[in-house]
Amino acid sequence: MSVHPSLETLSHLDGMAPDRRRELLRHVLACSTCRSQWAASDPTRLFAMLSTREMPEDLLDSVSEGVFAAIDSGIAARPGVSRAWNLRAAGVLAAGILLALGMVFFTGGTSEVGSPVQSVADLVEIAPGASLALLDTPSEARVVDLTMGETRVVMIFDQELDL
Amino acid sequence: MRDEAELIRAAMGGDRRAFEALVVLKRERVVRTAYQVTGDLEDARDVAQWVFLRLWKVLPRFDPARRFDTWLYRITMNAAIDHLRTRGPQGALQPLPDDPSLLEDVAASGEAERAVDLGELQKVFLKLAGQLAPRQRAAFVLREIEGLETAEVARILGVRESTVRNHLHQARRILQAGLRRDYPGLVPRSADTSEENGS
Repeated sequence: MSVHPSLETLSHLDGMAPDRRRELLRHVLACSTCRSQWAASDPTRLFAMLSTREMPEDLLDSVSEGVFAAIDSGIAARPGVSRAWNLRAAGVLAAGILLALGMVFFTGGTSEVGSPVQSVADLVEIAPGASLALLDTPSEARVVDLTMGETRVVMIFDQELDL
Repeated sequence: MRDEAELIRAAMGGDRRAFEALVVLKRERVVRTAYQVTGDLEDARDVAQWVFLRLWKVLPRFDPARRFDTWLYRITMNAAIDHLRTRGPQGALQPLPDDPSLLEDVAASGEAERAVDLGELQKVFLKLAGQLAPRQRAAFVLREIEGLETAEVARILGVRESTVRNHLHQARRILQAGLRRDYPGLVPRSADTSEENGS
C-alpha cells in the first residue's frame, strides 16, 4: 500500500474485514508516520500488528496431522451413544434394579410381587444389553449374576443370612 | 471448491473430507489465538489439536443459525485459558520464528529501518501479558489482536459487554504502564505523555 490511510480509517480497524485490516496493519508496520499517529493515544494498539504474523506452516501441518490421526485411531470417535453414557446408564439401571430388589426382599417377597430373582429377571428384560445368570450353590441361597455393559452385580439371596 | 457454510454442513453430517478442509481453513486462526493466550508454540499446538478434536465431536450439535467463528473462538479461548491456568504464566516460552516473507516486504518498501520488528514486539507482548489475568488477556487478544468487536468478544467469553470493556480497560492500563516503564523506545513520542486511554 503506497497511499497513507487516514487516521479515521485506522481508528476503525476493529470489526473490519480481516483481509482489509491485515493490509492496513502491514502498512502501519512499515510506516512510522502512520504508526505514530495511530498509536499516539494508546500505545497498546501496536500489539494489533501481531495479527499479521504468520504461523509456521510445519506447525500448522502438525496440528492437522495430529487431529486426523486421533480421529482415525478412534480416540476422537463421534458420540452416537458414548461409552461414558453407556456406563452411566448401566449404573443407573443397576441401581434401579437393586432398589426394586431391596423393596421386594425387605417386604418379604409377597406373592403379588413375585420372588426376588423373578423380579430381577423381569427388569433385565426391559434393560437393553443386560444379561442374567442364576448360579448353582450347594445351599438354599440363590446367587444371581447380573451384567449390564461393563457393570456387573452379583446378588445373594438367602433367608438364613443374618446381617 | 465448496464455501465455508457448505463445508460446515457437510462436516456436521460426518463428511470427513469436509472436516479436513475446515481444519485447514481455520487452523491458523486457532493456533494464533491460542499462541497469544498461552505464549508458547507447543502449548498452542496442543490447544489447537484439542480444539479440533472437540470440534469433531460436538460439530453435529452446532446450530447453523449461529456464527461458526464465534463458536470456534469460544472453544479455543476456553481451552487456552484452561491451559494457561493449569500451566501458569511462567512457562518456558517458545517464540515464533521470524517471518521472512514479511521482512522482505518491509525491506522492499524502503522503510525497513523504521519498521517495527514483529519478533521483538511479540516478545514484549508475551512478557507484559504475563501480568494479565487470563480473562483480561483473552479479551485483549480477541479485541485488539484479532480485531473483533466488543459484542462478539462478549459472546465468545460468555460475559456482558460491560465486563469485556472492564477487562480491556484493565489490560490496557497494565500493558501501557509496562510499555512506558520497560520499553519506552516502542512508545510513539506523542503517546509518551498522553492520558491513559481506557476506552
